[in-house]
Amino acid sequence: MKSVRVVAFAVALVAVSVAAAVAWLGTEAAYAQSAWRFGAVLVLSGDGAAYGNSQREGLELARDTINAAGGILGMPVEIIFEDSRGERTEAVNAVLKLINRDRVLAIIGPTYSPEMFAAGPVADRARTTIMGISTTAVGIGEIGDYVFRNSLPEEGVIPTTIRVSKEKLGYRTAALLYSNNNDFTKSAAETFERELRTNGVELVAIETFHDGDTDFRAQLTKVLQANPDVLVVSALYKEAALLLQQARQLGLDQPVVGGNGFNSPELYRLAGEAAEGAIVGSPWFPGRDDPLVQDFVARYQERYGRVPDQFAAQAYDGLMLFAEAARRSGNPTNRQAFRDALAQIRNFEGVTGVFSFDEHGNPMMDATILQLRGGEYVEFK
Amino acid sequence: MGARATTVWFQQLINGVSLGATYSLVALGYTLVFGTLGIINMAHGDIFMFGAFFGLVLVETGLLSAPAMLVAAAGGAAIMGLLLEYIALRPLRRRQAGHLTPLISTIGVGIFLRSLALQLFGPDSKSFPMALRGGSYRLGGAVVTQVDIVILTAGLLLMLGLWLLLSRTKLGKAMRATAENQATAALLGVNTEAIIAVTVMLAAALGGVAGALVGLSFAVSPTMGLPYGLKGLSIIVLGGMGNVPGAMLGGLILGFAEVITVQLLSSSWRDMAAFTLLFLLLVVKPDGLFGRAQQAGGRA
Amino acid sequence: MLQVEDVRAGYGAVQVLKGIRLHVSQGQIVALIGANGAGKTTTLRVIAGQLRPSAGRVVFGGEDISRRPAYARARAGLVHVPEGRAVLTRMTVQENLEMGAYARADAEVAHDLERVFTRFPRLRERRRQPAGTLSGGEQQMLAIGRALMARPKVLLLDEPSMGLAPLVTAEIFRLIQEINQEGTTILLVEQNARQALRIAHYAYVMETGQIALEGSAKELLNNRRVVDAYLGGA
Ligand SMILES: Nc1ncnc2c1ncn2[C@@H]1O[C@H](COP(=O)(O)OP(=O)(O)O)[C@@H](O)[C@H]1O
Ligand SMILES: [Mg+2]
Repeated sequence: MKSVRVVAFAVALVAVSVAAAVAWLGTEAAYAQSAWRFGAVLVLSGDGAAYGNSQREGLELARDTINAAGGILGMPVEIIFEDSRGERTEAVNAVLKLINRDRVLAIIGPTYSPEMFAAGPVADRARTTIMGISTTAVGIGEIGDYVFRNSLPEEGVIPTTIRVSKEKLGYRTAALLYSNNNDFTKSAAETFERELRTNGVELVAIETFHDGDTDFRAQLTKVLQANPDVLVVSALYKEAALLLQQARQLGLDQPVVGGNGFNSPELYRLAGEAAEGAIVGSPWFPGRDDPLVQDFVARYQERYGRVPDQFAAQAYDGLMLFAEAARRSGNPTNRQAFRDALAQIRNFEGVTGVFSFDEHGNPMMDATILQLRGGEYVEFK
Repeated sequence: MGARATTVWFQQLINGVSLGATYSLVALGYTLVFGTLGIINMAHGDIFMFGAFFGLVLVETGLLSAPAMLVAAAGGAAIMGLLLEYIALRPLRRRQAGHLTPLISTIGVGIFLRSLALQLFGPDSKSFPMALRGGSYRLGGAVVTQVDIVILTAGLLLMLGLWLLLSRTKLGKAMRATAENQATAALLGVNTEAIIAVTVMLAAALGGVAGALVGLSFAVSPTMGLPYGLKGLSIIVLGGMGNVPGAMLGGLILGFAEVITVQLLSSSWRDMAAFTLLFLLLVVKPDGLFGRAQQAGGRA
Repeated sequence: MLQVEDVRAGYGAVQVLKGIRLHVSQGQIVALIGANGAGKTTTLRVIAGQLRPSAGRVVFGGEDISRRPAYARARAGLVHVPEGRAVLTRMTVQENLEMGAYARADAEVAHDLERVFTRFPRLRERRRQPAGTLSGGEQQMLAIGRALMARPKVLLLDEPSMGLAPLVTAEIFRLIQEINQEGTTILLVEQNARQALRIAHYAYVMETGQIALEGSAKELLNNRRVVDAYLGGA
């Protein structure tokens, strides 16, 4: 008898709170019609806070740029920031809150790929667009129709790296050296191998090592024997630096093309002269000779006192892409129209490059190819 | 047109010697401590790492001298060895804690040292100034770096010195007597506790020098001791636990095995082939190259 | 020269020595005899510093050495040749002998080494061999030779004849007497009671951790009880 009463009371309580919530949500939705309201789920505290804060700065600069020019179709852009602390459950909670309570049109983030694998399906079920701006794991766009990203993974950089460097250097044979106990360098090496073959380059030596190895001379001596036209290296900066030094010492003076490890300034600090001339592709290059890029870098630098990093640049482009989709869809409360407009964007000119989505919502764009010259990265032309 | 096969092999020979010499130096420290105390000092790789940092810190004060750098590495590491003995080894020995407990306590010390290095020096790799590392020479088509020569010279001198110490001096004989039987050594007037402390310090100093040489040759970082520690451990198994010439030869054998595997098979087989060789050798000679079966009157 | 006063000692909870008194006068051979398990070895271990007594003290040259570690006692001239010889098997014969002189810093070590080799020609022949390759008798010679290299004031010998052939045993006893005649005080533990008493000046008989009987070696050789119990009633 007693339990029946408890259940009845609970049901009543739930009914009342649902009614209250519906009433409250109604007012929220009405308010949202006067602005383009987006959510951003970023790592704003904890270990990855530096990434999230760069992203926040990029987004804020983009927002203020748009609003200063009169907003989109006369309505301003709003961003509601949520801190995921880099944790999947926090990211999911933040996405739920943004969708159900804040009634945002679409969401930017989360910062990390594992967070996206948890939060992406949630947004997708709610038919709300979510776009990663730093998630590079394989399979992000494939999560669902409403899941996008504008961040180019290393695998997306490498085709440009090989195409451009082969065009300029005209190599016919290559040696591929990579660390095979690291998922990133290994999968990048597979992409390098595929792209080299696609471009008709013969692989005359493939040598492996491990993260933490220090002596690469046995492998390099073998490469010396194979005498390739170019060395292609997929390694973290530490191993890459030692490998370059030993290669130069042994008399391997061929040009070197590197994977993402070569994007670290640590490479030159450790390898010094041995890294001179190394070629690497990068999704972001603040030194690019392009008015759009130089304008962004100058305004960012003025506001935050430093050169924007990759996270800030991709975030900036992310919001600019959202603005373009908003302009095309025309309605700040129609999530479906927004999603369809975003998916159709082609050849969008951002600060990180010319950009299109593939059929899954993954980015298709050219990376910038850089070369180390006197300790500085310059565009490789 | 690639390099000629003979040149390639000559270069691989040089590569093998250079690699093997560093392995030997690392292994010597392990073997000295195992020989005297019957324990594996799991902190050795981390003392090795600190040796490199001691050398680097000295060099960064502006003193660009390889010998001074090696002395700093040896001295700093020796002090760490002494602390290890007093903090992690002697108290357990007093309580007759067996052989497993000190193994675990040295693992603890190793983790502590690694975290300490991370705090003090940060996670990044650092390198010695080019001025100290010098250039390289051409030798019959092959390349030898100045650092290789320093490693080989220092390695040979240290091994010769260690051999002379152990075979010719009173201290060395006391070390060997203590290693074989502490009770008997004490009856001969040997202050075995002091000898053990000296042995642990000497092992640490050798580790420190090895670390500084590896650091000079490659780079210095808080985790640099891990792979070398692992190699050092397998070498003392290969050479015969506690055996000094075994450690020296074992290091060279492992160095050559790795280089030859890369040249003849494939670099992805490098570690596997080296350890397969180790395994095969142990099947043929279970006590290692120079190992003795446990003898009567051996370690108490 | 050496006194053991009311020493009690044991292993863990097991009390082995239940109040032992011994007196070893300078220049003498004192024998300590008794059945297997009586506590003779334990007594020597206490004297040499390998085992801490729970009560009593050891006095050497007028000084209480009860708290000194084993190596310090060896350096002071109290040299122990333990049961089972304990040569350093991995070191050569000559290195073992050199280790005997470890605590010495004088210039006569080489001279003493020569004397040991003269006394034991077998050891000279095998000087470069690892000691572990020697026969039992040779190892005993080496153990004694090594002890002599320390120029001991008092030599503690634990069953030097154990496991040796009769001919070798005789040689060992002759040697002990010779060493004593050259001025070294000796405390000799033996199960071979008759031979021990023949060369000793004074003797103690141990039974289950206590001194049962003592007297001059001649007296004990003729004591009924001793003859019945230890000399096979001959
Ligand atoms: N290490 C030991 N641990 C425990 N008991 C021991 C140990 N050594 C000797 N004993 C015991 O102490 C007693 C005396 O031994 P010991 O002194 O060796 O006699 P002895 O030398 O007269 O034959 C024996 O009962 C023996 O079992
Ligand atoms: Mg006995």
